[in-house]
Amino acid sequence: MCTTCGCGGDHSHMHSHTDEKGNVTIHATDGHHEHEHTHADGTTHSHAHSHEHGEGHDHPHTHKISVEQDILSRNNAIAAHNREMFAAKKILALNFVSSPGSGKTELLSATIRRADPKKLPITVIEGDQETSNDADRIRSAGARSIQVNTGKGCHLDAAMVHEALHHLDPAPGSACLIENVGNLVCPAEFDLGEAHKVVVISVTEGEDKPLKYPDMFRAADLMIINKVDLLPYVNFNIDKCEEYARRVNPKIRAIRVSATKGDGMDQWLKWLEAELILASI
Amino acid sequence: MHEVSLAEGIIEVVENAARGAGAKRIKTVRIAVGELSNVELDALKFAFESVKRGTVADAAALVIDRPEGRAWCMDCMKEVPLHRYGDACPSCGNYHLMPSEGRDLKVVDLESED
Repeated sequence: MCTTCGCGGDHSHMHSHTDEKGNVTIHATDGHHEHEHTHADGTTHSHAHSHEHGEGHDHPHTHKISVEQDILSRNNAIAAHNREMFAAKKILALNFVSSPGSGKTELLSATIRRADPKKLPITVIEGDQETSNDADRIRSAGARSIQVNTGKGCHLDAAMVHEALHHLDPAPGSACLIENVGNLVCPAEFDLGEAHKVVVISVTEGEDKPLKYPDMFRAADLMIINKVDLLPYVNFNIDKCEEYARRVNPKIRAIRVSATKGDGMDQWLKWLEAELILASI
Repeated sequence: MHEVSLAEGIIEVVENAARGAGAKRIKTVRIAVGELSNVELDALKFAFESVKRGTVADAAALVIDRPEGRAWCMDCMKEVPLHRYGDACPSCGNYHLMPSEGRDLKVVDLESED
């Protein structure tokens, strides 16, 4: 049984290794399905199912089996389990999503350096295809971090986060920040058990990104516009960008920051502290 | 590509349902992929053909229902079609829309040969 969260979880399809400094990296298998398929070998089952021989069947020997089950039901079940664990330990979990290069890691590092560890203790789960560079940067900033390498995978899923949490064991009443693989498409589909998805966009990108990647901006509750110190040098209409985001998601909120220069960081920290208080209720 | 993850998810749901019903060979897998769900259909079909091999759905055809996207327009105070996030309300042209339908991503039913 899992002592972190009490589940009987199967972690056999992922492996982790620990380096000489005690830093953990998790390798999630990519692509084809992890577990062995053991087919039923004639054992009886009491499972109820619909067995219709309705009109419209051309083949006399076929029968219809009603399923009505979400394709992502397995991921969603693990995400719900993660969410329960976060709630039980009053942990604020956030899923940071963006294109590669928007400044997520720098934003998290700057957040850690600014945060008062008594008011806002932080741990980080890092997701990248390869390397532990981002987790190392987070550690240099002063927070504990676990790296998940997805290999060929393009997004973190709930099972990877579940595995990471076993190693990271975030303290009750803390913020667990999950930096997803840089990808503005796929992570939108995958619930990790977070309280909110936070989408990060930088002013060196196009202001119309929210329209071009609507699913991600729809899935996020907060948009952080980063690198605002570079506004004088780029043609980025920041008001338009927020307007476009509100077209695809009328409820999305926006904060403008420069992680490197400090603009807006106080406001961002306040949002985090407020969310952490909400997580404790 | 996450369509491979989705195809694997389909196969997992199909295998569980087939096992529960005692079916050994699946002929058709019907899924519902709503207009507003974040899925590229061609990629999904391709991934399904790949991932189904060697499973109970090895010979199965994939049938895709496409539930229409709909949203509540807060200005018109009525439900309107919404085919894509970022589209305006077809009645009033504004963007105060809350999607209500069309986000399905599920296995609807199976047809088995036995």
